Amino acid sequence: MKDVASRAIGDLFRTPAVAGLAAGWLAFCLLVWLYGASPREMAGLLFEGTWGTSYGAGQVLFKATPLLFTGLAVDLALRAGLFNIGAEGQLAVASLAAGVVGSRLPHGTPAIVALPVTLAAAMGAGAAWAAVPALMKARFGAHEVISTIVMNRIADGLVGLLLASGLALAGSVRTADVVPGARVPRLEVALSAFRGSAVSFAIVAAVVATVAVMVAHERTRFGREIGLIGKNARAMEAEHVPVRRRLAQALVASGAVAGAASLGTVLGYKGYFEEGLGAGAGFGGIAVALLGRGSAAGLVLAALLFGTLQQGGLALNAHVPKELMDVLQGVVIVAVALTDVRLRRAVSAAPVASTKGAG
Amino acid sequence: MAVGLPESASVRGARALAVARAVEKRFGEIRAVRGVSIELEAGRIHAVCGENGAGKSTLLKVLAGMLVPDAGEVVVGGARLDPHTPREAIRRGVSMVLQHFALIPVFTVLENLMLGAEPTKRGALDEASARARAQAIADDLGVKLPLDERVEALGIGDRQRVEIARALFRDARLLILDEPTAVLTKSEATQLYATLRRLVQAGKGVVVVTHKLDEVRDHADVVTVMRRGELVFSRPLDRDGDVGAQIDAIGSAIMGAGSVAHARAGDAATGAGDAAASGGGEALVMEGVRVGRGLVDLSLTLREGEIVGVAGIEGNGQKELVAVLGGDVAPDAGIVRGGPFAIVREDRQTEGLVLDASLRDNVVLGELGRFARWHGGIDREALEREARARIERSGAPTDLDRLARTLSGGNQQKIVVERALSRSARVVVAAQPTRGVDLAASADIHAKLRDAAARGAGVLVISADLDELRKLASRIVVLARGRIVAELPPTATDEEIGRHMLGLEGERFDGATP
Repeated sequence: MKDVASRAIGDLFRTPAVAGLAAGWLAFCLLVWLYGASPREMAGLLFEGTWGTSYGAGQVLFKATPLLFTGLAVDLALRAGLFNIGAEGQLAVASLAAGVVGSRLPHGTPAIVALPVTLAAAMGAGAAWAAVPALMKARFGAHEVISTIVMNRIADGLVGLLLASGLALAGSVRTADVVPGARVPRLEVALSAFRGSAVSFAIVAAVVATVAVMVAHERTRFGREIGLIGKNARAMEAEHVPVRRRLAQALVASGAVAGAASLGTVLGYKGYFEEGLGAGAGFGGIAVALLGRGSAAGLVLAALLFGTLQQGGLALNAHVPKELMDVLQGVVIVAVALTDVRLRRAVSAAPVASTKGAG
Repeated sequence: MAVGLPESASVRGARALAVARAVEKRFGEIRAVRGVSIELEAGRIHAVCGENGAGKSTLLKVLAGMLVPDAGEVVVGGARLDPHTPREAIRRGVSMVLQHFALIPVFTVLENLMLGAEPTKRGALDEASARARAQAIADDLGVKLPLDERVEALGIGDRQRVEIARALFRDARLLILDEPTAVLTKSEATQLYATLRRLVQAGKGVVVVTHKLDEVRDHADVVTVMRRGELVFSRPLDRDGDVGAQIDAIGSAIMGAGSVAHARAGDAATGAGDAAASGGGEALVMEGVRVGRGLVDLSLTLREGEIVGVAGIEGNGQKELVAVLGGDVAPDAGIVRGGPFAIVREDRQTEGLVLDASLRDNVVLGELGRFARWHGGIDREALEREARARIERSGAPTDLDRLARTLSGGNQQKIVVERALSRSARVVVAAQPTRGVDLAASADIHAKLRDAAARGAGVLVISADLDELRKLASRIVVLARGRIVAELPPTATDEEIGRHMLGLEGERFDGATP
């Protein structure tokens, strides 16, 4: 009896969500204690600074917005068995595109035109950035983990370079303001409770997109095929499903979704792009995807958790450095990664191109 | 039990290397092994028989430390197996060779042998002593091991020998083999048993899971039969008594009384479409086909309504034949005319099914395009209707939400076969259609292939099981070194077919008698 119980508990801690939360909580207690503060007191402060007030809650939603988009992006790729580490770079390039295109539209462009055009530019840029590793994968079997990491570095440099060579306002590292029509309105416009908070309607868009993508996974040919490829690419190849093309398409789609995160940063918050805006959201998305585990509710909850940690870090900053929260986020990611079978499969899977001989 | 023997005398006399006592193992709601007790001794070849899903592999995996039992006790090397891990079981001399090999393809044979058991000399790898040891093992086994060859370059029979050598490298005293002959031709299987006999004579214990009663008849010392998770009996084979009667008793114990007659009746109804075969048009014509180094110059004609068997030792072009007919590769030379094709691929677990997907997804795998609307959405009602119809025809469990992984091998194969046959192809290519599948499911699958032929398809069956080919085909062609080297009637004997398979045509057949 005792055996069964202890095994059940063991199994529970091998589920990524529980492992992540447990490790996160332990790390929180340990770190706070090392700083000489009381974990219980700090947890109380953390809660107050986030969900304790409607402003705090709004800020959590604001932080969660890009994370939900990038988490959805990483999850989409993971379904096909691809590990998209490149959401960070895809989002950076997309944000620049949003800033540039959004600010070059005629000033009076109505929202019904300006917003879709700007969003399309952002998603297109994210998709294009992802298309490079996608093509490398389809053509040469290059492992996407390596190539997307490399593309992140290139994006970092390229965005800075382009800003410096004319896309930024003179003497700054930011673009001009996007036209009013391209801005996503703040949530406080509709809900006065969120007054002062930076949360915008982009969070609504993120949730809708998450649900829509999940439904598409179930109900479209593309969605189902990439899911099956993620589970056994060889069987799909044997059935003459164009596996490499689907993988490339999945990675491109993932890049587009990552690019949509600029709705929350460029269009919903600053109203322009500046170097570094939205940085970290791409990597945060990996954590969200791993913790959220392929369900809409899971992704939303995971995005909220990491949003809470980020906002909570600011709330605790007077007592413990807010970087503590970054450490916490890392601990959660490691714990989740250690227990996530999907991830292990994606990383260890042989590149598709090598499974078929040249002969 | 009429054919019972003085069990206690012989069984108790032997030294038990591993013992299971009242072992119980559940997977979810399925009780795979129900309170089974068994002793595995040194100095014998112990055959464990039963249908797919009878619990044989599960029981043996429990004994080898790979699965933790839900109840009961496992004693290995005189003491309770604790911790219950494969590592500990191996440390105590119990090694299991799985149906799906666990070798690293890009490593050489020697590297695979050493892996995890590397001999060292002052902290450095001692390859010389490993090599000497491997050589000694190969000599003991009476086989050649290409130590410096990469495993991926080896045929399946060689890989199996490497697996066995690997276990011996770790000082295995009890070797458990899960359906070792499922992937072997008859002569390879005979060689394997010769090797196993040497091990047993050297004082090791050998346990073999098998479906094949002729192997039990020819090679086993002790037979255990399992059915539905329970042990039916476990006793020595009395070589001085009526072996035939004992084998029959084993057969009926495996199938459960009553179902034997059914399976036999199915087997006996050979090729209903044969008569029509000669009159049918050409379903497939291959002329001078070359594919890589596998197929050299292959010519073959398949008529509508006909079943043709392809015999041959694995690695003589079977893989390339399936690849070229499946459209995976284009021929480098020659003509392939015919189709549309439906392929039952050799390895259902890696190529045939998505194990972690539902039966619904699997039974229409690769056909989502048919159900897609212009906007990319799936017509789920149409899909559901088709999946339902197919699953009901397949004879597998009909719960469409079930994961393919949860089915037994036989039922998995039924899904793969049904899917292929549902595509109304003119050419059906079935590679090893009943490998590792129990008797009842094999009979079902054979009946389906005959039906397909009766409906006018040309059926090409590629199999290592000559009995299967004889049962199904109206003619048997032999594939050797990338060519069809002979065409024989289904009445041809093992020796005749074997002679062509080995390329010994015209010489005396001295293949692989131990």
